[in-house]
Amino acid sequence: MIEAIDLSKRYSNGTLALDALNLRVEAGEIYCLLGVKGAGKTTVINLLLGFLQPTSGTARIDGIDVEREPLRAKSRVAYLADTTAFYRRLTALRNLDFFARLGGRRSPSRHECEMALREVGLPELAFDQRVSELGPGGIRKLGIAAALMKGAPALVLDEPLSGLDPKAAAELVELIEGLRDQGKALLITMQDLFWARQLADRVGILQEGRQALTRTREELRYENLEKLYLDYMRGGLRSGGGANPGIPLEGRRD
Amino acid sequence: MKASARSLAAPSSSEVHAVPWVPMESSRWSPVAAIFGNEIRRVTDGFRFPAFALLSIALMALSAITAGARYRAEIHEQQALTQDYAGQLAGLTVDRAVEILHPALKPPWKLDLVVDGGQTATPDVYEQALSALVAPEIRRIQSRNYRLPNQEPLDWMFVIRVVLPLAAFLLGYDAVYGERRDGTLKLLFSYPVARWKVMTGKLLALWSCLAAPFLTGAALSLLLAVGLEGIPLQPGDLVKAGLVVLLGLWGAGFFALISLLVSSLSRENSTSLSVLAWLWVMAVIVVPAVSGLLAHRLRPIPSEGETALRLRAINQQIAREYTGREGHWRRPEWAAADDYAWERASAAAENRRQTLEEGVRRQGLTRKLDQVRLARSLASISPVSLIQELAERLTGSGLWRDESFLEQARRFRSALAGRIAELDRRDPESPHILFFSGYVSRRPIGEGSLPRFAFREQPVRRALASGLSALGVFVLETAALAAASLFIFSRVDTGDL
Repeated sequence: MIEAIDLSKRYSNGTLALDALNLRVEAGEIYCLLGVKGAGKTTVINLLLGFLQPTSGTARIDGIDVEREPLRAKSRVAYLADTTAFYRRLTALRNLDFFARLGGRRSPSRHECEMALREVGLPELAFDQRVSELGPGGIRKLGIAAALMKGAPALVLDEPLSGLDPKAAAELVELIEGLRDQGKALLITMQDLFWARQLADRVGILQEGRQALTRTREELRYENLEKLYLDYMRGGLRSGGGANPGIPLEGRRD
Repeated sequence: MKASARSLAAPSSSEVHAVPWVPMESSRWSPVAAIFGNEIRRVTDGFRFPAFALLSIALMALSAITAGARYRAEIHEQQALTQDYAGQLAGLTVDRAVEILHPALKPPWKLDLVVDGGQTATPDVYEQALSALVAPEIRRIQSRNYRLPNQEPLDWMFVIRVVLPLAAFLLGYDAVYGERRDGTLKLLFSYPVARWKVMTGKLLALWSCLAAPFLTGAALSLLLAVGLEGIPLQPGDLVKAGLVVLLGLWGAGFFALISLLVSSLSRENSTSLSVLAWLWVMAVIVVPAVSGLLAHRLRPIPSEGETALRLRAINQQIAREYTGREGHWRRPEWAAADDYAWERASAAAENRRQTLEEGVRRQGLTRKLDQVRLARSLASISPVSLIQELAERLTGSGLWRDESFLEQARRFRSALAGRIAELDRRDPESPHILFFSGYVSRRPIGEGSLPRFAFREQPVRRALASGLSALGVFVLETAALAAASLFIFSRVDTGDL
């Protein structure tokens, strides 16, 4: 559903932001991509959403090459940003109506929009509130509602839990799990290992643009994700920018 | 997640693979309409839009009121001069008709509220006598207090040239950058909407926010001009006003494009605003002012001193050519003895002098007009100056009205001369020394037998034809700007790349 095949990106200043990333997120699966700031997570998202052209490799959404058919690919993926990515002066309903229209609905009814907002658990009072008056949790819920309205089979979520209090985070996690149960393919970038362990069917760690490790939920039952993650981060620091020579990178396995 | 969500959601993964996934109820223009509506809300939310709308409408209403007052005052003063001339014509003889000043009046410019084009300041009366001994006069008859500062005319063009670009820049400077700052641009671009549609929606919204107050102001202005101020606008005038409205709407789109282009290129709000402010000052103030200065340097007009020297040289030339015989005028009854020999020589000298002096005066006028034309050409690198020129051409105002007035006034003098000569020929007692009082017919001129000056405004078709080249330039500029905006917008990054 969401695929990256040997996906690389080198910026014009020579920086290699992503080096031959291979990942595949199936329908009904949550893939959490972990990594520190600058590891290349945002680059992955930008490549999958067609905001960047890959230097080499292919990004596909639902089998559609993002570079060749960006609009078709975009119609099959919903994106939830890490920050307040809605029009702050508009109400939640207005925002939802607007993005539903962009998603292809000619005239979404207020009832449909309200249903989507109820579905994600936004309080009725918040429907007609400006986004600037909603908390971070409410905004993320609005994002999920917009994704629901778009009806895309794949979702890319950029740090969806950052800045949320535990209660709001738990509510959002429940929503995300609900999306997985609907058969959506979800690629989530995050730094929170606790929630990654809770949510992910598979976890990948990005380290300086390289795919350092991939583990399934099953494998993580026998391994300590926190320790693995910290080892990679420390390795990266010790090697002065390169990967920890003691721990093989996935890209080097073959 | 409740079951009802499934009705809103996409088909499940297995369904997705079984049936090609198609967007819901998509239509070609519905994303443009959505972005348009959203952008309208963004632009109209806050103080900026009402402030601009109020200013535009108030200025355009004011243009009608000031133009109406000026129109009535000018009509009144021109009527006084016309009555005075009519008084001189009563019982007029051919002999007297050659030495009085015959006024050609440029009527008050009815579309002053639309395009002033300098018509409230340039000469509106050209008084010419047929006698070579009476110098012509070109002047403005309206009384004016020169101690008052020379004020910018408050016409529609003031709104189009000054207010519309300012409003376009203030309403649109954050149209793209603001979305990038707030993160909405990335979400927007994650939807399956082509960039050109996003830009079209934004452009149309910004344009509408500029166009709506402008159209309201134009309609109110016309209503006030006709209904309250009593300016007798004819259908042709309304067509010309309509052309200026179209030009204003086009200009609004042009300025909105510039605003979007700069907003797309900027990485900070302050940069966007500063660049647009710089462009505004350059286009509205600096370029026209510098063009005037450059034209003054490159194509200077003769000074009064130079003109006086040339006129003196003409006198000396005449004295040389006619060896002192140019000023002999005897009483007609004495001169008849030798068939006006001296007078005919003097008349030839004076007519020659008049021709040469007229040449100097014409050259001075032509150089003044050439200077203005050069200043206009240089200033036309600024879109606002180009729009001003287009408006003047399309309405037949400005330089073209002044030139036409001079031309028509000269034709009037020729017609007058032809008529007087004809009347003089009919009198066998006349010595036929044209056109010198005392040496032409002394018979009275019948009432209404002299041609009267009636200024003909430029017809709409000719106005359109004269504006074609400037129109072509503006079309090219707009196309280039639109292409550049589209190119830049299609490459706008979302802010985190």
